Amino acid sequence: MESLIQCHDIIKIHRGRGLDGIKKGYRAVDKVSLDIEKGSNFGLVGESGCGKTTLAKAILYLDPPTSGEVIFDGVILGSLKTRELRAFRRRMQIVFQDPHSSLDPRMTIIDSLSEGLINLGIERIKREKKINRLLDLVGISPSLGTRFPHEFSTGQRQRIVIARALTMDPEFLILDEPVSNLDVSIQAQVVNLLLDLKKELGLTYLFISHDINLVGYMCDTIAVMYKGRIVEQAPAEKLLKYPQDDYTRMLLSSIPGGGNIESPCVLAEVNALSDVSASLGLRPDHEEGIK
Amino acid sequence: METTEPLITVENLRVVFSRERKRAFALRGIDIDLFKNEIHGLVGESGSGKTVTAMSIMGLLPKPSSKILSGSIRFEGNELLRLSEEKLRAYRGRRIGMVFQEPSKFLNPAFTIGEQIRETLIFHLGLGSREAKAIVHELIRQVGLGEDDRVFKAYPHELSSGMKQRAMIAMAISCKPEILIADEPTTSLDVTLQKQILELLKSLNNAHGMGVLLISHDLAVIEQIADYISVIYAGKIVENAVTEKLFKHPLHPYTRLLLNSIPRPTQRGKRLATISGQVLEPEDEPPGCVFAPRCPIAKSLCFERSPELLEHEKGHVGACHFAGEPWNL
Repeated sequence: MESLIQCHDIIKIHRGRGLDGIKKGYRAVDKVSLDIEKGSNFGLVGESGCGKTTLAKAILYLDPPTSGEVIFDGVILGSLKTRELRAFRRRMQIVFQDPHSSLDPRMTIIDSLSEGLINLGIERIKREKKINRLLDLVGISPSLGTRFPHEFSTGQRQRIVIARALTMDPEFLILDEPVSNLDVSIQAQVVNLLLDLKKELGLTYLFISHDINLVGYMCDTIAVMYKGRIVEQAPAEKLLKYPQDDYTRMLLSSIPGGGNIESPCVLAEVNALSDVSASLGLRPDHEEGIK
Repeated sequence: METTEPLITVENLRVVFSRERKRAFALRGIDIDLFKNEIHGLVGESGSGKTVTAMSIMGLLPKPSSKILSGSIRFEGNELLRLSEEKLRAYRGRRIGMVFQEPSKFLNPAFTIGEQIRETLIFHLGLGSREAKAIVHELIRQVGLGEDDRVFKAYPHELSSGMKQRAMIAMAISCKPEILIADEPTTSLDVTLQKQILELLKSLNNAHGMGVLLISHDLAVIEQIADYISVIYAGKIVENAVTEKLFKHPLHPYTRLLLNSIPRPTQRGKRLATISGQVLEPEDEPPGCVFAPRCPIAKSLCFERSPELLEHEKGHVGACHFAGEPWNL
């Protein structure tokens, strides 16, 4: 299969000053290489603070990586000029976790969805037609388009955010914990919707989540991220059944209803691991000094 | 388990919140028996009344906006709902401990963890401060926060969220309560931490015979450690059973749909079940079943008469007119 996104050795260092005033760098993403095939559903799992969102933003060049390169459909994004990059952005969109903060409370739904299209210079009638079609597609009645975000439930708002991401006809969609804030019954609706859209529009997903059950259900390939690194990457079924990395095993043994791992001596290693880092819930603290 | 009396019995508890002449029915009939040595899971979606149930038991409902319409909460034969605030204080914290969802909201940022836990001991058990300190150290060790002085002297902001949750648990169990109410204790935590906290609760339950009411929206979490599960929908308990039975043969269509809507890797390629429609508006007071508007097998009877919570099988209670019938969803 042809790959749509390729990342080579992406490093992202957040720079800042510590409480002591000394300049410090924090390696949020550490030499990550990914290869996402066209039409695939690529899952990225990891605990909070491991760098999932930072990596997503680096891939989109919303917050460009410190080093390394992202190749989208054969083009190196880092080599593009701002104007050229903008054109590329149309082809990749992102849906964030919290639909409350990702919709402007003072804009109606139609206004929110129009913004990108206006930017493209699409005329009003075409715009409205498209928006109505998209709202319909995500299961929101187009007649509700003149309402404001607060008039919708969380599940509906997430559908609207998904519709907005689709206004640009993207090929690639990053879904950053899109259902984590939703109740199970609503989560199921949005998950079904995402799978339908993928099939219907031929999209490629990078699906970010901390919920391994969900990623295992949805994705073809899973990458496990820990402390800024990808520690393991494999086809979903293989990774769930025969995890190779210690951290992956620990993660899998932690999931509720988990335990279909078919490798012995997991427990001892899990215990050893959890004693060191996870039991005290330490955040990754691989800081490095910068002169 | 049948022979002993429940530690706490909640019966037909109905709570209403009033705001600007509008009445919101938060609880429409809660029945829970919590036994010694038992982990009792209370599962439901957001807004279904899980936390209101916990707050009612703790006597922490906001006043005067809330009103208890009917029902009773009995603890050792005493009616908690009729106790004065002063008498209630002897129960709250002392004999019924509570762990809240967001530890960072419920820990005082201006005091060290040790001081906060010690305060509880001094207040409830009348211990001297040195005596209390020794116990606090033991508690901190018990919840896995280390042997040394570090956590005792730490302020909440110095701890990670998993550590804060452990500190909350240490505080909640400091007076060795008979009952521990844990309201979404792991919701804000990563899976690896979640497992540890659940294991901690389980071990405390084993060690002290404490009855634990574990509240969560996540059936998978509850499944992991609960002996008994109550399912709450729109402020009403719709089903109540031993964990295994509930997962194998749910009596209520809502439970069945809820189970089917959980994504699991083994279900790849299959569509997830969804529950159409919206949750009942809290202002509504339908004469029939609360789930009828969304229920795929609802008949006219369901809209007319509210089903009672009946025992269909030993240790398996459900509130559905058609419970036990071989419906297919």
